[in-house]
Amino acid sequence: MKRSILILAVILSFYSVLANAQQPVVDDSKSLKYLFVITGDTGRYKDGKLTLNGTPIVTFNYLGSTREVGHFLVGMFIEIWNKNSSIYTAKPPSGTLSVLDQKGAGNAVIEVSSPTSTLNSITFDARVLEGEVPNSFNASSLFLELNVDEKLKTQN
Amino acid sequence: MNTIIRYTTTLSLLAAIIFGASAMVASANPVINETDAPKFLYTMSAKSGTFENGRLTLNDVPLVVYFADRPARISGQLSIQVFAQGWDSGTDNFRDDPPNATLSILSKDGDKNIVVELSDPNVMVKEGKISFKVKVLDGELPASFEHSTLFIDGGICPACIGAAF
Repeated sequence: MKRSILILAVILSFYSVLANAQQPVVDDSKSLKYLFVITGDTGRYKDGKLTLNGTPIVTFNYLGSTREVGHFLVGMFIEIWNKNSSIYTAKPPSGTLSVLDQKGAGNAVIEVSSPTSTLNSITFDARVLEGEVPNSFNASSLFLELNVDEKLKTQN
Repeated sequence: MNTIIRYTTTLSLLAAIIFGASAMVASANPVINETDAPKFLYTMSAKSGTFENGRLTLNDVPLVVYFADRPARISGQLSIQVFAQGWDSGTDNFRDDPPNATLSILSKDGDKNIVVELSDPNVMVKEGKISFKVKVLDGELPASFEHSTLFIDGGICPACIGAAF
């Protein structure tokens, strides 16, 4: 009898561990992390400045529990950055710059800060953490994960 | 006799543990096949566009960005040529099952969203243009417009898998 109870206890604890492993409790109600993608048809990296040209639009993808995507003009991205600048100043965000060429995509990890924009371009102070960024390049995308303080308006 | 029954009970319980655990582990690690492969959302932003004779044309599209549907976390980019080349590849492709898409046009008085069905992509590489035959499902597509993004829903992208950031 004692042995059966012991075996049952082992079974229950085993299933309990498996069930917990499969269904982790995720509370992302306070996390507003988005993946922003800034694309450019040309770009350059010189003297610690990264500039992407031909970038009127920034797209974003919410990294929470629901699928929410959208876009806005690059000026709005600067507004969002400035609104949350205390977070980014404390720890400058890093992202992946993916540059397309004839061979495919070359990726570099870079840390960015202090963005400024015109109607059709965006410039960051940038530091390459991994990989190489050519001095000038053609089509590229900068993938940046950023926390923001409120939900962004989405399209679908 | 009691000993045999006890051993039989113990063996049954062990078998139940092993069978149950195997089933749970198996469900946690499914075999990946095409039906399990993540679906992708594609986005392409354009500086301007037109809608004429049933075709939607997007101008100055530098590239196509993709995101995998949750829970996979894969994102990356493709040239518009590669995107168009993948249109009819694979068994669950866009040629056989034309995708729905939302064209979102940015404007000062609010974004305008039009739901369309896309088919027959045509890429003009040098001009950085891509056009589609479209069927408007919801909303009204203007003859010409400025900044916009086309969000294309669904689709498996074998070339995208593994290109995670």
